[in-house]
Amino acid sequence: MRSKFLRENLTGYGFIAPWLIGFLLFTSFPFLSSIYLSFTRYNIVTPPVWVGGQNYKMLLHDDPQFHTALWVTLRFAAVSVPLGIVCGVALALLLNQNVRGLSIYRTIFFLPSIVPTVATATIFLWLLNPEIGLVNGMLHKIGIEGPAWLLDPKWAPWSLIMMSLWGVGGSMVIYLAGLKDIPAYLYEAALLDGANPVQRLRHVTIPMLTPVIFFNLIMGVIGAFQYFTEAYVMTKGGPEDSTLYYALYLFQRAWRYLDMGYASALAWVLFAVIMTINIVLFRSQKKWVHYGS
Amino acid sequence: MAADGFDPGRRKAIRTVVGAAASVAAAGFVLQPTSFFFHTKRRKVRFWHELGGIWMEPMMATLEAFNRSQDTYEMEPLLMSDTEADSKLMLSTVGGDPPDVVLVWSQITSVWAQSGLIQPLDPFMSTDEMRRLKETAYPVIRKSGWYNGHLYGIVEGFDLWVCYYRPDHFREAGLNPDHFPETLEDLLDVAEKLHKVEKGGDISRLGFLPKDFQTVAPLFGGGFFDEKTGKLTLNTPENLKALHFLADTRKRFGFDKVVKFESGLASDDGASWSFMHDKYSIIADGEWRVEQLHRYAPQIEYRTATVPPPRGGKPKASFSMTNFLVMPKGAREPKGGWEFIRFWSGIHDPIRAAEFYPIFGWMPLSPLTAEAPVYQKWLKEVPQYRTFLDVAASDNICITPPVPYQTYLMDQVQKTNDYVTRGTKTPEDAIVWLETEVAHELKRRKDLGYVD
Repeated sequence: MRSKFLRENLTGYGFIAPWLIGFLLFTSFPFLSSIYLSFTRYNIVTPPVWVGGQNYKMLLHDDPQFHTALWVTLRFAAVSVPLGIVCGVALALLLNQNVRGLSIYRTIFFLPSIVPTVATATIFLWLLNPEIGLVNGMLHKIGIEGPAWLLDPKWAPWSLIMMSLWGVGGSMVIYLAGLKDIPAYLYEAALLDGANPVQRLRHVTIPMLTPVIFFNLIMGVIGAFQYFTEAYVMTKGGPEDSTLYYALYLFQRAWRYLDMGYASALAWVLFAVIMTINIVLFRSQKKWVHYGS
Repeated sequence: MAADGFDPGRRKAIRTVVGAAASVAAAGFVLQPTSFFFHTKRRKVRFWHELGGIWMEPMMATLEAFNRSQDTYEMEPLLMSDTEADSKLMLSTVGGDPPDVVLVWSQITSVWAQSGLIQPLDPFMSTDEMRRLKETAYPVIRKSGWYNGHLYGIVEGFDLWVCYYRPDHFREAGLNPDHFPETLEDLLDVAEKLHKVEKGGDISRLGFLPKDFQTVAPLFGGGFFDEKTGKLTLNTPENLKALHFLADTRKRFGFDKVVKFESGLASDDGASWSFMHDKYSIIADGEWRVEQLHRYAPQIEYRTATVPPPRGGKPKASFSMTNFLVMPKGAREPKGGWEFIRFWSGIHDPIRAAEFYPIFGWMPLSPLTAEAPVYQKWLKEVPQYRTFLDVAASDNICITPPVPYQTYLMDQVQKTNDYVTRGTKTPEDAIVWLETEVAHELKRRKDLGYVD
């Protein structure tokens, strides 16, 4: 009996061994190593030198770019995540109607989310070109002089927030699945009680969708704090640090300035920020997330 | 239907497809041009570079020339994209499997030298080679690539900035193209007659617009590093004058209008260069444009002239960015790597190396190379290049400060430039900002135990 149990378990561990070894070697080990590295001065080539809490002290007190990067990222998260949720839910509601060609519409809205990020970024570089870009060209046709978008420090962060909506099709699919899961009898009951469409949306659809919204909120917050590729490709953090996102700054410190110890400290501060926000969100879910049961 | 339920016809079709695919793959494997070298017994020297696109052909020609000259070593090149080059080198060196030679574009040798990523090259150099470098190379070459008393990078091509101008535009504006302005102030007066501005203030052609802080500062006697004291020189009256000059030339049109104009220009590469498309009448740019104009726009009449200094400024002044040939620590074939470095750069034989610089359209390291018949022959085809050689001989060329935080420093210089050229900060505020930011970084590094 015992040997059969062991054999069965060993077989199972054997099957997951490739993942397990990969996880231990390439995720757990670097993850734990970075805790140690964050207390060192380390340039990747020579052995790390212990500096105690200096890295953390420096970034909190003596690094204006750290504060800039944190602010830029917080602002991005605070605007892009709720905006993404509102647009995702709205799109899902629209594409949950019984109209002809619905699957085509769904495909069209979903397609942008599977376009590689770098390709999307390159296209948007052209679209948002102040002189020859399509966006300003269209604005010009209706008599509006468009801004310099990515070249203007006031507009560049908002341009990237606007661009983040391009991938909203990914979360839209999840909202659509959530909408399909809402039991029809709830709507029937609401109808019998005389609820109009807005009341059905407010008192049935949205509450029943909150677990999905919560999931997307958590993923959105994590994604927003790790926002990197678009800024790296399109703005390199400029103009004037207006798009210096936290992950981009971390990357610069690590790979451009060879300050791996400092970058590790930045990574752990980021981890702490994401964890704190997620803990607050998880605590808050009791008040606003409604599970069907 | 076969016993296993598979239609024999279908099975045959699958076999045919799989067989054909395998044959194609095998043929591809056998016939693929794995490299251009065939001397399997020679020692392979691994060389990483970023010279793709238009640079690929001259790069391969250079490597072939080296291989032909050798009976011991053979180059094994690898083209890297510029975005991955630095990190790839770092990881390969840390992993114990670095290349033997790398051509880097980034102005980063001091950072790498301090971190122990690359090794000094002076131990490989003969006394003659060192003497040739110190005595016959252009002044800018003599001072480039050093860190802490050792030479970590041999320059292979360096940029200088001179004015390219269009005589046809001059004539059209009633100006004499034989008389190029001799001061920066006069240059701005001439440019006024060459600008083309639409009714709403939109620019369609610029007579002249100075490029950026780092290229303009040397003209005013500024720069970012004092070679004699080894100290940074950021907040200086000369640098401030340079920033004022940058701000004023943009303010004349409106900062937004200039940003808009520049953003509307096509890619700045090769055949798309704005000067070729009538967007500038006079532009300060680098030496590689001569070969590009020769190749992509031979019909355009153009001339070159040194960027004139402001009154009281420094003549033939410029900022130089350099390509470096470096050797990572742990290179397996360091001697082979050095053989290639000295062959290509001309440190060993300046006359022999003269054949490579024209095919790239690059500046040679020494007047000895420039005087070689093959280089002189090329100069006859592109006489405009002589201006660059003239400037190369000047002592007024600034280089990226050889400090171990040079990437950080130059990033902040670029930001200072952005603040001023966009009108976000006044030159005074911008230069104080630069000084403060760098001071913060230096304090941070000191507190962390870095020895700068």
